[in-house]
Amino acid sequence: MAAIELNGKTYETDEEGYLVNLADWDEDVAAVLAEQENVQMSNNHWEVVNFLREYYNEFQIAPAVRVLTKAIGKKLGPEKGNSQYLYELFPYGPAKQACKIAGLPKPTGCI
Amino acid sequence: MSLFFAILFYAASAILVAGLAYKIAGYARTPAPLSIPTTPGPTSTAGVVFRMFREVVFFESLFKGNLWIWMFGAMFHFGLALVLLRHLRYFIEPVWFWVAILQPFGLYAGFAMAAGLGGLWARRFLVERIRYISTPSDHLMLALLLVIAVTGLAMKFLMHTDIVAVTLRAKHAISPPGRPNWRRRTDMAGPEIKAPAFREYPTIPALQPDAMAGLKCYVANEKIQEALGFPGKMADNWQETHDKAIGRMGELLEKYRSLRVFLDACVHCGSCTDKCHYFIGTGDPKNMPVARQELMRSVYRRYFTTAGKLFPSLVGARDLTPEVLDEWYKYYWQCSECRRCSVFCPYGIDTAEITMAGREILDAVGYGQKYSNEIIGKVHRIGNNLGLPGPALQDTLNGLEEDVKDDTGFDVKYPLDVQGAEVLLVTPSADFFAEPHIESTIGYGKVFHAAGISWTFSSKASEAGNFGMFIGNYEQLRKVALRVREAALELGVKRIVVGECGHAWRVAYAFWNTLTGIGAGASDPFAVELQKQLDPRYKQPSHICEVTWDLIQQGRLKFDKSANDHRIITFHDSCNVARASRMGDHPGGQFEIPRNIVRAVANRFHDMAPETIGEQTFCCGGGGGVLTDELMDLRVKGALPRMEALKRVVDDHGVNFMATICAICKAQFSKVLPYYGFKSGLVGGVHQLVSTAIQLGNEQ
Repeated sequence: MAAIELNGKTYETDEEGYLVNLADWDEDVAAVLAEQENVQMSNNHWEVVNFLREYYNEFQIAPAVRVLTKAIGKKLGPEKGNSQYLYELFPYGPAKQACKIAGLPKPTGCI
Repeated sequence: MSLFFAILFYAASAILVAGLAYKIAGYARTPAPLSIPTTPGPTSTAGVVFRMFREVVFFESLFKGNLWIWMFGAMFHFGLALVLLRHLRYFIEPVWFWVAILQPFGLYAGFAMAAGLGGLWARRFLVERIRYISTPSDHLMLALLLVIAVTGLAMKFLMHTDIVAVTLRAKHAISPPGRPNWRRRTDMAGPEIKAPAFREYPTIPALQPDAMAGLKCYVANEKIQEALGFPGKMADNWQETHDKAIGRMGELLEKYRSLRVFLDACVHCGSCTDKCHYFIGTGDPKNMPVARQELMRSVYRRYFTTAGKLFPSLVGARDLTPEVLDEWYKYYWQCSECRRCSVFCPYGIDTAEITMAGREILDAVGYGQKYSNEIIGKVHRIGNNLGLPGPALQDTLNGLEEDVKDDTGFDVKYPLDVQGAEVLLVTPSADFFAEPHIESTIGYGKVFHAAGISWTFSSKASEAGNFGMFIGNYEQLRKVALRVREAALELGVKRIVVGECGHAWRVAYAFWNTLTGIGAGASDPFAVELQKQLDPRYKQPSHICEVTWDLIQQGRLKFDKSANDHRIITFHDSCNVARASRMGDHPGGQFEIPRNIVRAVANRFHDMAPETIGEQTFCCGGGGGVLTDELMDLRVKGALPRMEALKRVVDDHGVNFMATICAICKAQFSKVLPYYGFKSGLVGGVHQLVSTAIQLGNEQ
């Protein structure tokens, strides 16, 4: 198993770099994960990441793309409530890349 | 001397007949628990007989697959048939009228037979792909047949031999009439016959050995494996793994007649070699269907056939080693089980069945695939591939109701777990989660709303997909399928309808019957109860496209086709729907009904090239359990033939929407379209088009 070493703490990750333990997540490790993904975290990026974590805490799963875009539209303005904007923030896909930075398990299935 | 050869002849015939009888008895006693149609599967017994007749007598699939092999094969077989009939004269007295008439034709047939064999043999040297798959026994077989043909012709034309002396019926035999002027032409019969130059297909790549040998998807960890009841990991001791794998293979051979037949029947003709999208895209010879099969067939021969036990190198048999097992893992996870190759196989061999058996053996030794096995675990634990719990489903569906209300002004419902609804709609969980899938989900709801049919989703059966099929494991397949039966019984529904999911429709159409009693067939108490509960006036299960098309025909749905005028549409047939199931009440309905719907809801439609759709459709490149990021290289390359066909309709007709009825196709295309310079949004669902054009007002 791979791992991230940070400030004397070890964060276990899987083959694809997703955190194994949800509870390990903090903003420091999120910054490292974002760096590995070549994503420059802005406030809007953090909004997405925080929404993902909140949603996950409530529903034990990342939100559907449609739910995410709607929520982001409400938070950041309707012109940003579309998947195009989310892809601008997270080029490899909001579902997978943003989940990784948010420390959530990778959503897999027929997606 | 003559007596010696006579005895040899009878001994050889006896071995052939006894061996064949032994094989057939083996097949007869092996069960066939699941129906494996070779599309387009006929609907009636007469249809099956007619289909078999065409295959056996005219080699119809081979004709579709490769004209050269077909031509040489036909020359040889028809030549042999005529020669055999001609030789009847040695065994009957008086000689029948029609046998006498055949005599001169039989002479020509001898040359045709030799020429056909020469052509087939030449292909084994001249065509790189066929050379790659040929074993010494393939050459030996052709050599023997050719020697028979050539010596027969020689006995006729070069050194006339008294056949009568070596038969036991000397007095009654007739001497065939001689044609000395043919003597000069015997040189035609030798193996040096040159096959005509082969056509160059731009889509057949040159072999690139091991081009994809470096690609290996993630292996499942112990937790994932054990959740499905598989060993967590491989034993440290190779012998133990070896014995387990061979043991499991033996069990599968006892369990599935299909596997036995498919492992025995192949003659390495090569018709399938250029039919796999992964081979076309990668050039890796192990992605040629026959070579993929050979990975396992070679081991099967070594451990389960007399020839392979005695003369392994002659018949291409090999021991199972750690390297072989690794090769299985890599290449059985580079197959999408799309079954395109089976359409062109003269024996109907289905590579998917062999891939499934390979994956099943790998799971049994603790060498499972992370992607598929993790997903099956989520189905057992949570209820669907994505792992969406009930509350998340409810939240998503509530959101959809709001959105549709905003868009249309109508209160279209997306109900979950509604007791007593008429229809249970089982759809892939991606339809709740991903784009563009969710657009079709919106469409399903609008169809039921407009037709006034009460319906519901189920949180228990919130997955139509069944990855148990992908990994070839009957128990997992059944366990996943049973969730649908449980949900249907609990909710008391009258009809079960399956959403846009390719392999789900194969499982539902062909296997649910046996696995769960949805349909007819199963006889356990739950199945009987379910059969009583379901409404016999409807097909059980029905595909959502059948439901929508029926409603359209009854005039119960109204559309504004111009709402889709911004789209120029084509339709991609998904492999499992196209080649392993059916819709409606006649063969080919699975091709017509989705297109009929598209034409009913939109004005602008163009099909892609005929050899890339229908039963010959190309896989999207992501089916069968390979829709995972670490296999992206394979997925992109495997999409090549579909992308080429798409490119043509985009260039010629301005197509900007490729409709499909499969969640995997939608997800795969969304990812790979950009690699080919297309927009990711070019793919969508049939019910997405329905959703755009449907008029909701009438029933309000």
